[in-house]
Amino acid sequence: MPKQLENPRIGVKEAIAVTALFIGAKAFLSYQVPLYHYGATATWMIPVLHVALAFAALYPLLWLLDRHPDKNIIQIGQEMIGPYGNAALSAFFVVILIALTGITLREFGERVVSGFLPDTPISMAVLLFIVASTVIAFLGFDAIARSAYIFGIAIAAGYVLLIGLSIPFWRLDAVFPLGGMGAKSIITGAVITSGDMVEIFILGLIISFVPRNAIRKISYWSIGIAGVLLASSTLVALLVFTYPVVSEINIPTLLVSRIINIGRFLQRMEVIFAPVWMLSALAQISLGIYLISSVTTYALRLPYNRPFILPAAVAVTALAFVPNNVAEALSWDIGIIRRYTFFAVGVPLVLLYGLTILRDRKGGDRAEKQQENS
Amino acid sequence: MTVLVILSLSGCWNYQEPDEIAWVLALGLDKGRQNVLTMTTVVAVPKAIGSGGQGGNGGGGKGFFVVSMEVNTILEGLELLNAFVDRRADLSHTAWIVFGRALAEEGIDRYYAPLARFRQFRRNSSILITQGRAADLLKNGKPILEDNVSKYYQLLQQGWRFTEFIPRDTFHDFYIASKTPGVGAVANLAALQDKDEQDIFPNNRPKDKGAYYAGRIPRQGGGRLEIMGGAVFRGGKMVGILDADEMGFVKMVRGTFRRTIQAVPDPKHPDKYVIVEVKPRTRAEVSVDVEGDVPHIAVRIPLEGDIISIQSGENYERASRIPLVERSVEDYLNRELRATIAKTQQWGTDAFEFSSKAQRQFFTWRAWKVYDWASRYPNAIVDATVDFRVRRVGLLHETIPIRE
Repeated sequence: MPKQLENPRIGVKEAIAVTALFIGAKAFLSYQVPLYHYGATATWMIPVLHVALAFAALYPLLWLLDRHPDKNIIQIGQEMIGPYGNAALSAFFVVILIALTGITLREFGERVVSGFLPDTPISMAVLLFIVASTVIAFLGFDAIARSAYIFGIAIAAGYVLLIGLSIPFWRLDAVFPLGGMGAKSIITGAVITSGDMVEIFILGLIISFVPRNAIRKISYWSIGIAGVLLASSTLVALLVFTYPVVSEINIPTLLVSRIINIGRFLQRMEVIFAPVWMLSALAQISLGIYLISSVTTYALRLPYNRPFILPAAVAVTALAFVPNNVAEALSWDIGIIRRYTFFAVGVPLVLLYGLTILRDRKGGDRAEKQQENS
Repeated sequence: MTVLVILSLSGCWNYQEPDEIAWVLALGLDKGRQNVLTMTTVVAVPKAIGSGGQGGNGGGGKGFFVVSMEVNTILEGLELLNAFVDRRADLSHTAWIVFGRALAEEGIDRYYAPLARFRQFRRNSSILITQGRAADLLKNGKPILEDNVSKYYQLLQQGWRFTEFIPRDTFHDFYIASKTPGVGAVANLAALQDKDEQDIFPNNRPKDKGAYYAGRIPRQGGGRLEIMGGAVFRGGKMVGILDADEMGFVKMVRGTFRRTIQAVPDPKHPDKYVIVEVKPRTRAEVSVDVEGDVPHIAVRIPLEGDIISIQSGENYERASRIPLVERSVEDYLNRELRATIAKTQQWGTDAFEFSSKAQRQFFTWRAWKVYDWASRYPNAIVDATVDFRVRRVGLLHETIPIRE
C-alpha cells in the first residue's frame, strides 16, 4: 500500500467540496456551448438528464466498491483482471485524466486571456495556473480537499451573487417553447455530451482518502451540487441571452457577468467574479494532477506518489498546448473528450462489475459444494 | 498566499495606467465619403474631466475631442486612431454607438453585430439612430450640466426610467431582438436640434408632446442633442420612426414603461386639457391565439395614475366624476395604441414583441419556426385596450373657479 496515499484522510464536507468542484467547475467554461444546439429553449433539461445518468452510473460503482472493501477502483482492477489488465486499465484512466485536466487548463488559460488579460501570452497564463496547481497537488490530497472546501464557500457565494445580479436581465419567455428541440434531440444531446459527467468516476479513486461509510452521502451531495451548478448556469445564460443568441456564446458565465449593469456603479462586475473562476480552476486542475499521480502510484504499487506530481503536471501542460487555437481546444473538448467518454470509462467498470458478479457466484457455488461435501 | 501571488503575476503583461488610454466614449458611423464608413469617435480627455470644469475646461464639451475618419471597418478605425492620438484607443467605456439614418436605412447589421465578439466592447452600450449624420451629432451634442461626457450620455439615455419616449433598449436588447425570429428591434432615436425651429411645424395648432420625436421638438436654448422616440428595424434595416407616445406604448407592452405625463382633452371642455401622470398598474396582459392562419392578439394594459392638473377647473376630483377622466384617458390612449400597432403591422415588424407570448403556444422550437410569425404578424387581428384608474388627485380636493 503506498504509504503517502494511505495517510490522507479528509472529512465528508471536504470530500463533497472537492468532488462537486471537479464535476461542476466546467460550468465556468464552455460546458453549456454544445448543449444549446440540442435543447434550444429547453436546454436546461440536458444537465438534469446528465445528473440522472450520473446517478444511474453511481449505483453499479458503489456496488463494486461495497463488494471490495478497503479497495479503490485500481486496486479492484489489480484483484480482478491481474497486473497486465490492470496496467491497461490504469493507463486508460491516466490518459482520460490527462486529457480532462489538460484541456481544462488550456480553456481556463484561454479564458483569462480572452476575458481579462488580452496582452498576457497564453503560455504565461497556462504556466502560472499549472505552477499554482502543482504546488497545491504537491502538498497532498488533504491540502487539495481543504482548499476546495474553503474555495467552495467563496465560489458558492460569488456564484449566487452572479445569479442574483443577473435577475433583472432575465427574460422568462426564453424557456418557451417548453419542448425546445423536442424530446429526441434533447435525449440525443444528453447522451452525446454525457462525457460531461465522466468525473463521477473519481469517486472510485478518492474512496481511499474519504470516510468509506460516508461514500454514499458524499456521492449524492457532490453530484447534486454539481448538477445544480451546471443546470442553473445553463438556465441563467438562456434566460439572459435567449435562444438562438445564447448558442453563439463560448463562455456563457463570463458573458452573464459582463452584462450586469445596475446603475452607473454596479457594472463591469466580471472582475469581482474572476476569483470564483480562478479558484474553481485551481481546485480542478490540482485534483486532476494529484489523481494522475495517485493512479500511477497505485498501478505500479509504489509507496509514494509525489515523484509523479511533476511528470503529471508536465503531461497536463503538454496536452494543454497541443491544440493550435481556442477553437481547436474547444472541438477537442466537446467533440472528442466529452463525446461518449462517459460510456468509454463505463466499459471497464462494467467489466469489473461483471467479473465481480462471476466471482461471487463461483464463490457461492464453491461454498455450496463445500457445504454438500461436509 | 503563494498560489495567489503566482496567479496575480499574469497581470503584469497588461499593465496600463488608466490615464494612458484613449477612452472612446462614443462611436458614430455614417456612409463614407472616401471609404465605406465615416467613423467618428468621441475620446475622453481625463485631465479636463478631472479638473471639474476649472479654467474653462469642464462642461461645454472641453472634456473630450471628436475625430472623424474614413474607414472600411470599425475596428480598423480604432487602430487608425493611434496614428494621431498619443494613447491606446479602447472601447471598454463606450456608452453610445450612433448610426446616421442614411446608413441605418441601408442596413447596419454588418457593423454592429460583429462588435458582440470584440472583448473591449460591452453589450450594455446603447445604439442610437440619428436623423442626420452621426458625425454632426457627436461634434455638436455637447453637455451643459456635465463635465463628463460619458456621464452625460449615460444620464441622457437613462431618461427611459422617467419618460415614455426613451427606449430602455441597449445593444444587448437590440442584438437579441435582431436575431430572434419575428421580433422587431428598436433603437433610440436621436437628433440635433433644428436650428430654425420655425420650420418644424407650420402652424400653432395644439399638439401634445406625444407627437414629437428627436429633431422635431420646437424649442430654443439648451443643449442641441435630443433623444426622443425610437427607430424600428426589420432585417437589420431601419423601416420607420416611433414618436414619443408610440414609443411609450411599445414600452408599456414590453414591460419597460415606468411613467409619463399625458395631457388628454377635457371631457366637458374639448379645448382644454386634463393632465394625468400615468404609471403601470401591473404588467401588460398579452395573449395570442395561433389557431388558424391569422393570429389573434389580445392586449390589455392596466395603468393607474394621478390627476395633476385640470385646466378647466371642473371638479373631476369628486369620486362620482373620476370615471369621466378615466374614460377620457382610456379613449385617447386606446386610439393611439391601436394606431401604433397598425403602424408596426404595416412595417411588418413586431416591435411590441408579441411573438414572445405567441411562442408559448408551441411545444417545440421547430413548430414555432415553421409557423413563421414574421409573415403572419402584419395580418394579425389585434384587440388592444387600456384600462386606466385614477388613484390620487394631487394636493387639491376641489377647484374654486377664478372670479371674473
